[in-house]
Amino acid sequence: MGENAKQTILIVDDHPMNRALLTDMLSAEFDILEASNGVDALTELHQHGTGIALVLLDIVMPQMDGLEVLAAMNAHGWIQDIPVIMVSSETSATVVQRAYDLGATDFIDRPFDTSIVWHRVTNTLVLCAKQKALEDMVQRQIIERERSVSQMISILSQIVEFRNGESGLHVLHVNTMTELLLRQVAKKSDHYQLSPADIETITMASSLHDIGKISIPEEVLNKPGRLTDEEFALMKQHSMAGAEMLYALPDYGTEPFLQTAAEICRWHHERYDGRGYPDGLTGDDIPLSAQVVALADVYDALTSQRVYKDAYPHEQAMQMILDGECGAFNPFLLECLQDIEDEVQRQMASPSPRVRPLAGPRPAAANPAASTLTAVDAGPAPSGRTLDLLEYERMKFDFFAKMSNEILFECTADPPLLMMSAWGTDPLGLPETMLDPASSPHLQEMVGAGNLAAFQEAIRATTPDDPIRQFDFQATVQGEPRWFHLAARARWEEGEDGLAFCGWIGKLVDVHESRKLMSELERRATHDALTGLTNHDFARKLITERMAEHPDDAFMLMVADMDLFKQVNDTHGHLMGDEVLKELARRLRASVRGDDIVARVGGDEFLICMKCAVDPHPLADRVYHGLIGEHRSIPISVSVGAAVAKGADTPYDELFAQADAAMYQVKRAGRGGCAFAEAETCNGAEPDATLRTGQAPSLRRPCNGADRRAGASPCRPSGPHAESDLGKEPHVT
Amino acid sequence: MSLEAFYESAGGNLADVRARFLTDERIQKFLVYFFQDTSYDDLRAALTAGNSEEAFRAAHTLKGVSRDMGFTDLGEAASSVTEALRPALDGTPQPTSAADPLLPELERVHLRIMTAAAEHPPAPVN
Repeated sequence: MGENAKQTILIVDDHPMNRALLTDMLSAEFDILEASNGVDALTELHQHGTGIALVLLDIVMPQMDGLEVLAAMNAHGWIQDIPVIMVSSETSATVVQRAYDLGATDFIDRPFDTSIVWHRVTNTLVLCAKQKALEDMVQRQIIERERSVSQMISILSQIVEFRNGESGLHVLHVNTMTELLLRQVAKKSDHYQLSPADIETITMASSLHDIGKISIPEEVLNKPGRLTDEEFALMKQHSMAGAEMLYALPDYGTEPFLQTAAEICRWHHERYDGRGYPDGLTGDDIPLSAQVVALADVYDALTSQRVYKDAYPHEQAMQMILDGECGAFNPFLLECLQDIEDEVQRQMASPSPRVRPLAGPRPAAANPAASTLTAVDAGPAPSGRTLDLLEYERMKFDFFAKMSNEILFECTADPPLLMMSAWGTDPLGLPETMLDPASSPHLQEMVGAGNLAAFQEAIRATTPDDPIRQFDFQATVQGEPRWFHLAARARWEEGEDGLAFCGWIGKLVDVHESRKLMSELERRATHDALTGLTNHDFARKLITERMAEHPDDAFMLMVADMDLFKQVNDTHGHLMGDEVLKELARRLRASVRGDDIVARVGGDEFLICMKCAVDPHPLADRVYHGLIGEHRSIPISVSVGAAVAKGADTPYDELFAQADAAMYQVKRAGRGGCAFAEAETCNGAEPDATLRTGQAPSLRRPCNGADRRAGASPCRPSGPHAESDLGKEPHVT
Repeated sequence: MSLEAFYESAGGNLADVRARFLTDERIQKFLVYFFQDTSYDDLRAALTAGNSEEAFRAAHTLKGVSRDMGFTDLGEAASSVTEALRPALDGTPQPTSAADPLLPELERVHLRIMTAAAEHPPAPVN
């Protein structure tokens, strides 16, 4: 922070006079933010984070009192970075004690004294800055120390590998895989009582598993062919040799790291069945560290190229390990290996193995000074650089969120507090911060009590492994229903009893316009603009789907073409032509049942598809008569072809071709009428010989029950759009 | 428009306020706030309405602002009322009648300050 930049103090007091008094006393040297209640205070903290250097906090306030603010600051971890001085005429010892317990740094009694207020504030800030500087220093030292330690280990393991003629990746691979396996072990069972610190230690120590090879003659180590019994006996000594090198170190007795490394060196060639070396230990007498490294070692040896062998692919290596071809392992570990198979493959395949993270103190190596410096010891405190990074992330996040026009939420379980990004509250007319949102009448009215309850239910049903829920719902904004999409992620934090639900974060997107646009586009893409009927493509899709859904039902497809439509256009103009088409569409719709499909195929050609009973003729008859007549003294005459098939029997296009051909037969026979294509009755009965004659006279009669034999067979199998038909078209229509 | 005359008449401790506020301007500025403060009226209203929690908060505020401005007597009286109305540890409010015996003294010292302010206006009246 620059010398000239003023630090910011947040004054939280419900009484304006108190805020004015404190502001008056401090504003010459500090920037002041004011909040008149606890909820507003949390909003300011959310917005400014560590941009607030110190909080002056009253205790007795309506809505959310000072102690509740302190509790929330604890829940968010702010209390460790932002000192709080209580300002209150509160003298009750229990209340004062409670405030200190919750992490308050100091107490300023009423009546306020200008000089005392100023000194307490500046002293606290100076102390806090010193503490942060010290923490940073310790942190840097720890990081430095860790860095040197891991560099030393890399050097050592590189020496061994270099001598082994290995690629140098082997240690890194064993490292990576050891860590992956241990994490899975810890996740799957608490039998081995693995702490994160144990995992760190074992992973780091795994680098040293082969240091004993330094004592093996190079000719043996790098012999391409099979080892003689004598050479193999020599080779086997590397495990004990490595352990002995570590036993000999003066710090061995007090350093858990060295002890773990020695375990691994000595026993990473033991077998679960007791047939390994050097000690022939059985089962879990072999330390887990050595068991895991043994498995990692074998896997990497199999999947890497060596002087004596080629690399096996992952699947084969896994199979060989599971089949017991490469040693005997703990079945539970094999299970873990199978669980993380994909991850192992991914990480091993990457050309540059994961760089071990160096930042952040590891519990095993943590300097005790670090924890005493942290007032409320909730794990390692973030360093100044980390805080800067967080600040940067927050800025980035704010910016992108603002740009994307999404409303961001954060909801804490305790206290039940809902906070919303400021730019989101404006259009919704909601406050930025809401206490107990579930019972807010405003929210219930907007979102709907049912939606709110369903959402809470869903959030409660999340688990740490499955924390995300998404909803589309309709809310009422300024009296208008609007569609929103809500995506929320539940948060769990490590508590005393394991992971505990501590709230959720979410974003709300107004999808109303895009939804409206989508449905409009969908409608336009599937419907004919003039008549409002579905278009042919969409009808084909609907009919194909429906026939597939009802394979055993009979469907009748009718193709209706207006007769002499060109004359209507020529005589009465295109407007009237359109008018007539619309009228025909209206009649089509009126002559069918609700779920029948009616479409405009194009021009003056329409189709109807409906399920039909055993005898389709009465139905066809009814439809046909519903269509013909006159409109504004223009006669409406149509030629209709029908075809019938079971859902499963005939593909749509074929059915359409049949109906279309039948329609053209009607046209050729003089227009006006309805005819069935050959061989199609609803029960799929035998083709009727008379239909094959294609006798024209029968076509003119409307079909009815008595006349059901009337019909036409398609005279051109190639369908109505064969060239010759097209050539005739102007004459027939 | 003399602070001395006003504080003497009101029974306040001007020396203390001067030591804490450092300038007379600041004292005058906050006396204006003090006379605009409604916590005394709020306290009376809450007691009349039987709202003990509201009365507790108002008494607490009155205690704070009185002591800030050096009105030790009013601060003491308000403090007694605060303690009488302080909710039990489990949050149960006290009956408002708990404050009844303390009200005559509270009224007396409050009236004294108001009278003093009328007779010796301590700050320019806008």
